[in-house]
Amino acid sequence: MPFRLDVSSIKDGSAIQDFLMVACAGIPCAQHCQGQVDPENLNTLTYTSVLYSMSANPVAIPPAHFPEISFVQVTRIGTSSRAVWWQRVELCARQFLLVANHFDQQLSSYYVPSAVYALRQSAGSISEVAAVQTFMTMGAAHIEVFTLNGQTLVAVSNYYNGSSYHVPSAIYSFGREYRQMCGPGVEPASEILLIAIRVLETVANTQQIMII
Amino acid sequence: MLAHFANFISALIDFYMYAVLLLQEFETLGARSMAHFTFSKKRVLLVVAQEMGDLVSVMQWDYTSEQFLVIAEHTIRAPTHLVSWVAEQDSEIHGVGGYGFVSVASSTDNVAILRVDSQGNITRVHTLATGPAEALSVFKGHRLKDSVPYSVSPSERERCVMVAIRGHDSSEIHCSHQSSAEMGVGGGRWIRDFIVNTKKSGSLALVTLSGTRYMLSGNGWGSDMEVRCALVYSRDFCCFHPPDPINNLCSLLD
Repeated sequence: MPFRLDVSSIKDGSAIQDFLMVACAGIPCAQHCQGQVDPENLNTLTYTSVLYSMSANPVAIPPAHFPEISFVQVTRIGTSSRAVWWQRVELCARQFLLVANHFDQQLSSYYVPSAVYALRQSAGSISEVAAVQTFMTMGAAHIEVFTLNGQTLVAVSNYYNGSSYHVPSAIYSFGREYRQMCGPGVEPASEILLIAIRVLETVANTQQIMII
Repeated sequence: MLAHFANFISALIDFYMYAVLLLQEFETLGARSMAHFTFSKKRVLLVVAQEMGDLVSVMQWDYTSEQFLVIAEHTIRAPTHLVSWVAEQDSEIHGVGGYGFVSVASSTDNVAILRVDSQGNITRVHTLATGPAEALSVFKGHRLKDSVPYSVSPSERERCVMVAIRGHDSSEIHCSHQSSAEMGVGGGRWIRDFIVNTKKSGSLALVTLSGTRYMLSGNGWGSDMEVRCALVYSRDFCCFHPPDPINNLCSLLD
């Protein structure tokens, strides 16, 4: 199963940051994502995906020379299983990452949870990638996100359950409650509740920083 | 204590507000990839590649039964990866609600270009002579001249599909060179324009930074148990950069 690259622009205020999400399926990224995987040592591997920010360094004489691209690691995201697909979702100006996990680390099961992560930002950069929720999948291979009637839907293609390829794929709704509060035609009461939630989240983040 | 409480509240909010709730399940046979077309806010088609079923199926939300239903199926050998795009201007030309195109990679066959109309009817309009492919990426553009291989078309109607060839140290860029009349009928004439050294790429992505478009190739795909990840720390990760003009095609000026 190939790993997945996804480039995503995340808008924060007036700036747009580009991020590269690398899903490393069966690859020990702690070793800089190089080398080969030794099947006998699979149990010792830690499967990590990596989020990079991308930047282009301007050059003096365009277009004779193209800008050089640099990658800076923002964070590693440890996944309990082998991630094969990352998908970014934006809900009400909040950023999320969805991951499709294909199988567990020991190759013993395809019944593994895929997950939702929230990107928490502070001072214009990502401060934390926090797991929000998991949902069971069977050899998940792909996540497709789309919007229908203002509702964000997440479709997951399930590939294999360990004995059969005849497995159900699934469609989920994502952030329905949040969407109802920040979509078009929102009532004032919902706006107030949304503000209250944002304040709570800010307090929570502040407290986390203080603890650190 | 306060921090724990704040964390608890934060987690509670996240769980409630961002809940992923199962809407429906549907039978698939080795589903590997999906794509979608948004024709309008209320009309979205979901395309599913079922590798083991040799099938590409199209689903649409049914407002009566309030679930997604399969409205069309098309037989393709071992479809794996999909990329889709909507030919927006076709609706103006043909007045039939628009077309979408989907490029389908196969683990055993060539890449196919399918045309899907807003009713879900599927027509195979082209075959790219690539052989089995590992990854696809699609972008708007066409070739202008050698020094600037591709640029976004003024009409934004031409499409190029980049195909990472399975087992080869190369990817290919195939572009449609079409007239207005051809677009709605068959997506134009597809021509292979470039071959890129991508070192057994397993994944492709496109990004535009500072007005320059880059292609990123996840090099090193071997097999399930012999995967080498991309060299993400260096330019080796990408297949662009001068001076080699052949490898320069990832610098796609907007």
